[in-house]
Amino acid sequence: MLTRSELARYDRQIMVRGFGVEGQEKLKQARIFIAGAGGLGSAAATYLTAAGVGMIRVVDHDMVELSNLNRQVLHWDEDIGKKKVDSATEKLKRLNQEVEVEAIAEMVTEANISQLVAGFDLIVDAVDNLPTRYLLNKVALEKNIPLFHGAVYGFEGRAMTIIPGETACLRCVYRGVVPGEKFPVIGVTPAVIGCIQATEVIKYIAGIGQLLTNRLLVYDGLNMKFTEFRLKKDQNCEHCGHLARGKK
Amino acid sequence: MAEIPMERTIKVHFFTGKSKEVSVEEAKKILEEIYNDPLGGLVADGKTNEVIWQIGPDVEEIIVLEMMLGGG
Repeated sequence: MLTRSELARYDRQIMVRGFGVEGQEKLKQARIFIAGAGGLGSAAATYLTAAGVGMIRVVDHDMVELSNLNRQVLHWDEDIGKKKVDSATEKLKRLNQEVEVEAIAEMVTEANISQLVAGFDLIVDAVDNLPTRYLLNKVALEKNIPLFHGAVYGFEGRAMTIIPGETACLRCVYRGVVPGEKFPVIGVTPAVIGCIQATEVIKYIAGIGQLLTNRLLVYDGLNMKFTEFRLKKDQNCEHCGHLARGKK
Repeated sequence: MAEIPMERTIKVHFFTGKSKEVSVEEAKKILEEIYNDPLGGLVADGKTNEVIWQIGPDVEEIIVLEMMLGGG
């Protein structure tokens, strides 16, 4: 049940038709796993914290560097050299004390991923490399946890939502094996995509609207256009094909 | 006089860049390269915006999206 303070804090979103007190109460119960405290993670975590989700676990093994500060808005000059998760957690707690925020300074690996996401309602993919995205995709499918994908490069960004067993998964879309590397990015691009991921999360938790499933949303900031690409679940997908076949 | 059948061509649009018109064979090669290259991306039907894995008989144009790497 929402406290008087929470009713006041979230008044404007409670006013939104279809969301209401019920939507806010659902947000308060939600436990969200965010992989990555960089550009996407900063935007998604900030708005999910402000929106009043129940609990956020942020996982990232990196330290804050000067070159992060053009886009990773949870980290400031004074944080250079600190663990990103500590810097992020500190800001998020200051933003909204009602939200429980937990920091884990670990690299997401095949060995720890299952334990890291255990007990969480959904996963936000805010990482910077495909191998880790594939790990998130696999564990999301195995544990039946929705995955909210985002990626950026330069002025361009992408987002899609994956509901295990029902929609195309990340592996249905991406076949590459590109390792993580330094990439160019305009600071606002991850903010746009991270906010789209946060919007999808809020809609999913509240059970409203149409999710970005079986659709890859591509944002081209340079020409300021959004394009949607239609996706089909790949029946032979090496990550989710067995789920589709099992449903027949 | 019998008409000489026109060779079917495919318009190729690169998402944030240039466009070109190529033969079906060339389009198939582009698609194959995209999906076989570890740095490859996606190919969509330019009319339906549906992601495709082969050049079907109805495909008139394709959009090539490069691989997306970053998150931070």
